[in-house]
Amino acid sequence: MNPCLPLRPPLVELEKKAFWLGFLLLASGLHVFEAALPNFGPWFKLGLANIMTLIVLVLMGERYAIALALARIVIGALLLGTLFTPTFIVSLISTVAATFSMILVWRYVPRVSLIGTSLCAALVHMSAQFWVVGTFIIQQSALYYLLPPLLLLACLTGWLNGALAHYMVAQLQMRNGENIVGKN
Amino acid sequence: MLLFTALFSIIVVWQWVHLVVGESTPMVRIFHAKTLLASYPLTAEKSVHYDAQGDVGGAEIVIEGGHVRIIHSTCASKACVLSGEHHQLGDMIVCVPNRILVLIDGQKDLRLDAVTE
Repeated sequence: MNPCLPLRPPLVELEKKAFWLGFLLLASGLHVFEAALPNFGPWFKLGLANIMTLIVLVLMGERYAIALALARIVIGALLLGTLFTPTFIVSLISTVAATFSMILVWRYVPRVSLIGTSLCAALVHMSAQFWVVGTFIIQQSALYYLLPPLLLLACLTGWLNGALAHYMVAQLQMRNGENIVGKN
Repeated sequence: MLLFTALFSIIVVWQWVHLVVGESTPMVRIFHAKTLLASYPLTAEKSVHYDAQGDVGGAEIVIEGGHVRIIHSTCASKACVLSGEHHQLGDMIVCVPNRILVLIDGQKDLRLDAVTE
């Protein structure tokens, strides 16, 4: 073996990175797919890409989840042509806030399920979105009039995404013969 | 459970505010960030076309037949245009790239079919 050549990373590490890239592609695809869906109303999105962040958080850890959320926002904006626009800033800040809340809840709340984690992230995402738009962009307090009904809708989408993520994680773990869904 | 109780309370208060505001004359107010650009009665007899200047160009707002909508915008996503017609008190159309807000709110004791610009 040539001593000048760098050491090859362990296969497990490479496999993990490949999985992460797969999840990133899925998340970016879902991000763009959602943008192409008919408008359900102002501010309202299903947040399907967050399912991938939840799955990565459970299976790979916090660093990977944050990296996935950030990369997905940038790739999605590049594909949609909204990079560095106010929409991108709103999306970036609210996604970062939601991902951090996801991590905090998953790590520190005992016996929390993926549904609870997702629900909390959806509420934080919606609130952060309103805060950024209300404080820095539109600067009108009348905007908050829309917040209560949208928080209710966020509960619904958060629950749905959490349930889907729980199912997908369970399926992925069943294949690997492990069971780490939910905290005990 | 606590979360749902809190949200339910918010919705009840929101509905109450909606009812109180609902007793007044609906007005369409067009803002660019903090600046009020124009204010028109929603139920004006003549249709109104207003070109609001925004950060990335602007938006064309139409008030007609008791409805308000944005028919053209220079933003990339066109989410404001796609949101369609609005007519209820408290409804709003937001164009984030242009920083334009079109809000339907109430104004008590409106006697004039007036326009302020």
